Amino acid sequence: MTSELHESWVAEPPAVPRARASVTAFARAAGASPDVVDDIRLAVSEAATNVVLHAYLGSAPGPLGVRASLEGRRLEVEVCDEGGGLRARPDSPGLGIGLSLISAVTESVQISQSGRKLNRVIMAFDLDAVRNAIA
Amino acid sequence: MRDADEPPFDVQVREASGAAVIVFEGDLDLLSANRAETTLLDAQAAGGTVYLDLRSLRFIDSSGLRVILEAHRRAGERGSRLLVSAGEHAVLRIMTVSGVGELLDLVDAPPEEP
Repeated sequence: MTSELHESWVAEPPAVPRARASVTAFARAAGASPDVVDDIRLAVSEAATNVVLHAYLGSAPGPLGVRASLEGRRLEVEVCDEGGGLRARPDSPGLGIGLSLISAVTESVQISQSGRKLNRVIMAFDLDAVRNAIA
Repeated sequence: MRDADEPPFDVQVREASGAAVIVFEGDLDLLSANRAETTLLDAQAAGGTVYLDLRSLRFIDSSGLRVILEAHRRAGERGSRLLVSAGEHAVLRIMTVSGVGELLDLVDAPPEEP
């Protein structure tokens, strides 16, 4: 199977389900457990939503990219944009819990801004993770 | 492009036992949040009890949670009720992880009778 995924869309609302579908299909093909697929779906949705809502505020929407790669049983997913970086938005239509949801369902999450205009949220998942029962 | 794996969002509205019953199906996210919000606003305008059935919802994220929390807040302000049924495993999990489930009035299922 392909062990790299690389796709990009215009950062508008339809890109959110597309990014989700693309990464979850990749994870499933890699043999991720159903629980982990659920977590990946949520994390990608939150990261992509952040890009659509915040990255290109005040300018025309640019690209929303996703990249996924597999190393052993570790899946790394990157959601990136070329916008203005993480900024507060006083009129944000979001709930403001996107990032905390991401960190709740990932093994690790890293936010990086390299150069002037490449923002990346890099999320790692253990494809065989067994989730603890919900308390 | 949505494939069979990512169902679109759909809404059904009916009445049961004098209450409005709203059924959300598919994926509730940034793309579908407006439609979900409009449906809830319309149903709540009458001022009665609204049942929100999420048992056919396959996915929800913070955009969808916001819409439901807003509806819950409106119900509180107006002295009416929003009763939520969250059946699907993935949806229940997100409600739990986010803590939103604790804030809502959850019921097993909406009434069936017309």
